[in-house]
Amino acid sequence: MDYFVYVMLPYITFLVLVVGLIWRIRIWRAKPRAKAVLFPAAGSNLAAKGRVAGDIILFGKTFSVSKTLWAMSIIFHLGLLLVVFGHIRTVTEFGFLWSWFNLDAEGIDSVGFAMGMVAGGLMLSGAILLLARRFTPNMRVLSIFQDYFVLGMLLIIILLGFAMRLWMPIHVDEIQHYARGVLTFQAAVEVNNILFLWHFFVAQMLIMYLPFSKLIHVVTKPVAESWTIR
Amino acid sequence: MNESVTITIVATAYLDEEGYLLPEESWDRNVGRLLACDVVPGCLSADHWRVAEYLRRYYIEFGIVPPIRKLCRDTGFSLTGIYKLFPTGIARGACRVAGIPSDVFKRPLTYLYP
Amino acid sequence: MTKAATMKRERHLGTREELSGFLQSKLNRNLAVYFQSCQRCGLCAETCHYYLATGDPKMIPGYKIEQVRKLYDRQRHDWRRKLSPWIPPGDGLEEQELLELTDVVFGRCTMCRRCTLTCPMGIDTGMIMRAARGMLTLAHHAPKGLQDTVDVHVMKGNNMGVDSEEFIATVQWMEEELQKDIGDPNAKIPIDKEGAKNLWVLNPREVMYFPLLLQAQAKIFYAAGESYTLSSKYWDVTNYALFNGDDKDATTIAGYVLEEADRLGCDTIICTECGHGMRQLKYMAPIWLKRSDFKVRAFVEVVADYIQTGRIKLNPSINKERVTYHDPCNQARSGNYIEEPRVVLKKSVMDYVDLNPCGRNNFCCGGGGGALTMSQYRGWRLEAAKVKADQIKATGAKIVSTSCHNCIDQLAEINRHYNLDVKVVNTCELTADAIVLPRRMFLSTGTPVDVGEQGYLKDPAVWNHEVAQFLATNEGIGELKDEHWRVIDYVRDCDSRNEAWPLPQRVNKDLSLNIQHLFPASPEVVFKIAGLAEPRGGINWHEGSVQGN
Repeated sequence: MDYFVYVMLPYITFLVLVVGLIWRIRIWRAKPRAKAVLFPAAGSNLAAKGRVAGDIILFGKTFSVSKTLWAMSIIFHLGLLLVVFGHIRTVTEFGFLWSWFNLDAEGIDSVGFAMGMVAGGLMLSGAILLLARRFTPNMRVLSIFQDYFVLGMLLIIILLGFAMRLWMPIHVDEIQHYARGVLTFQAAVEVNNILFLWHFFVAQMLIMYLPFSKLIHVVTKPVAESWTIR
Repeated sequence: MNESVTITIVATAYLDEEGYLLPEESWDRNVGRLLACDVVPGCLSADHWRVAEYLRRYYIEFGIVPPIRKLCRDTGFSLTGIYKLFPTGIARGACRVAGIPSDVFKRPLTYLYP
Repeated sequence: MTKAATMKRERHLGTREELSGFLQSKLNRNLAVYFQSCQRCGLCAETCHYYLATGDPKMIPGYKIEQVRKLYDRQRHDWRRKLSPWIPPGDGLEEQELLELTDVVFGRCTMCRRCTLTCPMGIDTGMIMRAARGMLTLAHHAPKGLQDTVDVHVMKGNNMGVDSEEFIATVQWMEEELQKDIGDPNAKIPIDKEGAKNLWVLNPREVMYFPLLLQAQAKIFYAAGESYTLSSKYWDVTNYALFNGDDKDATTIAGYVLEEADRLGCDTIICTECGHGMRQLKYMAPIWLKRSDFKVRAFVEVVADYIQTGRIKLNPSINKERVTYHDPCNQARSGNYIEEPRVVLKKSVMDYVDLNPCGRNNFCCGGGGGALTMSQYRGWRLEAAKVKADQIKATGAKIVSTSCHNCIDQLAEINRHYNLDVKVVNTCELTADAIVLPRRMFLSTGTPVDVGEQGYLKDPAVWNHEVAQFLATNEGIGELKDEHWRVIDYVRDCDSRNEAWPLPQRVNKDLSLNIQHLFPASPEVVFKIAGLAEPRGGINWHEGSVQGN
């Protein structure tokens, strides 16, 4: 198991993600695009594109209809963004960031810990709120298995991450060493931590699931939006 | 000398949700008067009856409501005259009084001209 | 009892393989992307009038989309099905399942596309619904009313089966009425006039039951001096095949109008006030027919253009009551006609208010997508219209106008169902009422009398009581009574003594009358009826006396 998750799975994940995305997009591109004008208003001028970009960043459309859902999704996605950003540290140090603040090794770790907790907390609360929303009577009718499944997976990943931090912490140097190994095709079973194993495993499952599920909205959102530009 | 006369109409009519008669066979003048309550202000005159009974005859014969042009030509009223008699118009006024069911003119019809 | 000959049109009944194939043929790039990127976030619930009125989760657009998506999922017979155990077995094309789907895509969606505006993923529900509707039409599951409309249209050239003689007779009749109305025996409604600039296409309901609309629009054309023609053969703007999803019929029907435009040499088609008719001709016909050498204009656009270029003059004081405008989905949301109707109405009526929300975000009246023709879904349709009814109530308007014949019918029904007590009229009627024509009347002696655009006599010398009565009718006052005559005589007296025209306050004081009650539109009307010459540079009310000439 250790060998599979640490040594083989990262490459499989990467392949599935890339091949899946390419396959997905090729299938879509092979189909003709609807010729009907969706909204014949503004065409593709700069202002319309700006509006779409603004919507992607700030979720303006969601805000205009439901403030609660907007709050939930912005908390969740902001948390996600910070978490992804924070995980860069598993590969490399932000030298410039640390030198800005003049931190020593101890400081770096404590700041990283605090930031990680905040980001994870945001994402966790967002995910819990979104999942709880799925269980309101109307949303239960609307939701399908996939909706619960994706959110459940995310929750498991977040909770495992938290648990690892609190009860079985690994020092970041260890992870960095392992990650560099993966990147240079010299992966080896170096980390002995059951929580990290599962955290890493479920996360890779989720990444592999991306091209085949609604998570693809990361890619399709700008595309579909540009079709209904106005 | 002025006499005040109270006329009580005794008639029962079953209506659909829009106020059109159901079933259409149960129509007579009393039912027509009843149906006219909320589309025609005041009493029904001979002119009203001329229009309503023409519509009814035409409907029974051909199964459709005549085009408004035909109605005007055959009854001798002008368009404004018709609207004066039935302020809500043909479909929502006169046809109701004539006891024609609502779906006859609501959905587009397939018909041949006589 | 009924002799109405129901003409039967033989239509092919799709087999299961064909239905499945049809679904696949409709699965273009947009649909494939939409199906996978729907998050089922439920945001669309708050935008759908069906959901807002009923609170039923099965009315949420996301749920409706999911029903269609599931159908697509179930068409798969390969390994992907085995990986998705939650998809029920079968291909979803059982009779019972098709019936359920019919209720969803025909009965619970008007394809108004309001949810598309706010969908974070930009999913076009209308497109998805049209694909499913096309499949159900092939399976003979489209509601009978809707399918009959299409069948009649394909067979007879218009959706009510009105034949050519009847149509021509109606138009000629309206021509006579128009001549009487505007007092010009030379006013014409041309039919089959080759070389006219614009082809004017109508809705058959106007011809059959609402010919006054035809007259109103013809009056506007007359006032603007437009070069236009009707066609005696194919003159129907509607295309219900847009709603039953049958592309072949849709192409045939759209082709009819284009055929006539070619025959008569018109390069522009002016659509009557019909929402989907405009949309299908302007945006869909070029795709169906693969040609783009024609222009399509909606009637509101044309009128707004006339107003802005000064081709027609309007007197809004004719329409005093508060008017609101319902934006038809096909015109505002899908056609971007948002400014035009407001330009028209603000010039045609005294008191205009917007609905809230309005414009592109306006709620559907509930009768879109052919919903009016499907009598079996009437209950849902009226229930969902509660949103619209509340919207109208909130404005306090006495008149609801719109520029879509379909919306008019639905609004009239809402009006009765929810006891709104408003008047539902077409925008063109308000405009036609407000239009100011240079008028000519004929006295009983046969002498013509001309009235200028502002309503003053061109030649004040011809004034007499008959002329005054005509002028009063022209201003919407009706029969002149003794009080009116006293005011008129008083004003003429002042004028004949070459005094300045009297202020209303002075008239009120001297005659102990209330001029406001007698001539509610404006005190200026008195001067017009009294036959005074048109003042140069208008009237200045503020200098203690009115400076006329």
